[in-house]
Amino acid sequence: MLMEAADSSTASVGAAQAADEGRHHIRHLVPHDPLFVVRIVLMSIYGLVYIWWFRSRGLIIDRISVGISVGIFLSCAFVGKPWRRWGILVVDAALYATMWFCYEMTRGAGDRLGFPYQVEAPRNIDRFLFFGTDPNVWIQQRFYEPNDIRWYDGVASSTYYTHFIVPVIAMAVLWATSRVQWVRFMKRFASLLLMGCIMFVVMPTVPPWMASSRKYDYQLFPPLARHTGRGFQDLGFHGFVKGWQQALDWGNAVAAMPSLHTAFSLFVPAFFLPMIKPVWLKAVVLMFPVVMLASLVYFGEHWVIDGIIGAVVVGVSFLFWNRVERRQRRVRAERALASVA
Amino acid sequence: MTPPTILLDRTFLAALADASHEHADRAGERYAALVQRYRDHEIRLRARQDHLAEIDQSVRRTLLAPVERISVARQFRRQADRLDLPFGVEPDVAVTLVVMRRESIAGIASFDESFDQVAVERIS
Repeated sequence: MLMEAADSSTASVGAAQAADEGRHHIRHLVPHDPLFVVRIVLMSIYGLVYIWWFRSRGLIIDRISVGISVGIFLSCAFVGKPWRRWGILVVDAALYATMWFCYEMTRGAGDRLGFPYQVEAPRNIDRFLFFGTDPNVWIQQRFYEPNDIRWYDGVASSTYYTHFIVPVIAMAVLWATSRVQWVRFMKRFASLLLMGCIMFVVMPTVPPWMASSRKYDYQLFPPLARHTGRGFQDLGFHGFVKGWQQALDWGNAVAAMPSLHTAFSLFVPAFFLPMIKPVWLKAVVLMFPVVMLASLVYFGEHWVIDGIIGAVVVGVSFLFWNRVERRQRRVRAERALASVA
Repeated sequence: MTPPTILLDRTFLAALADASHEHADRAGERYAALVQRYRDHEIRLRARQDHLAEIDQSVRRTLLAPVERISVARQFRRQADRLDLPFGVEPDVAVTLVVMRRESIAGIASFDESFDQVAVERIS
């Protein structure tokens, strides 16, 4: 009966579509709201200023500056929207800020809660995965030139720094364009951060650069160069690198497992993947986390297993929420269908 | 990625919620098909908040569980008042047209034939 109803419904829709000629298109009857153009102009100006700032002063990365920057963008995007939408935006923003605050606090405290530091275990897993070779050492021995910045240093460095802007840009754009998608994104993202924080607390993991440094007792292999900023500096982004080094002082040096750099670089493409139609483009987009992980290993920032676990955490977050959302739809639909019957 | 919305109009909601309504059977049949599509994530079902408020709460929680509310802002009503339509419609229909425009909705489940004058997908 339901299938018949669906067919019949489609038929009536089809008939209506056939009669489209001579009917009035809704966009001709109802003009855009008067401030639509203002919003577009303001967002364009914001984009230009952001690019200018990035080029001349460096990338905005500390949480407070990013928060202010996103706030300005959203103010531009919401000009002329109903007050209720503004109210929802304020509540969303408060939750968003709370999420980052909890993340920063937990991550920052993760190395002081008494759980044993992981040093040998990630290294041994990496050696197992790479047939007895330390991938960080191998890649630096072959590609790192202390006195010469190669093209791939620029690529790796740029990829590394996208971590600080790509997820935020994705969130801000979704926030401005589709709250439904923003909520979907944030549920998955917050779950990813939660799992990350739990692991930072339970398994504080010493990163390869620290495991090799002369400043620490581990010294598992010859010292690795920690050169994340070099390629970017070579491209002329000095202000950014300085800012980033300052930001690093607030961090937790043993929050290597899971690699949120890898996780974020997979998360954003994975979220938008259903929107991308060409298979080749999907493949290109999915190369991003691979390049990110290779860069992290090259810089001595992460073990390979950190990146793999980061990707697994992203997968778990997506699977969990996909299942929850499917179940919600099914439960609501069954409730409605039972009432119809 | 976000499935298209089908807006449930006041006339459709009224027929759906009232078993003695002249279009009750037809509305139930159409709604069941829409709910199937909702479950398969092919469409979103939405209705104006002021229209939903006219329906008994217990019905909203069960029969209309998949239906999301759309708040009708005062600025929507002001714009509807100012509309210069080439055909006559009830003020409430004008508000619905503004809502559909603002929320980018191209489909409506309604028994109101006024919507036939507009190039939207009408399910009835």
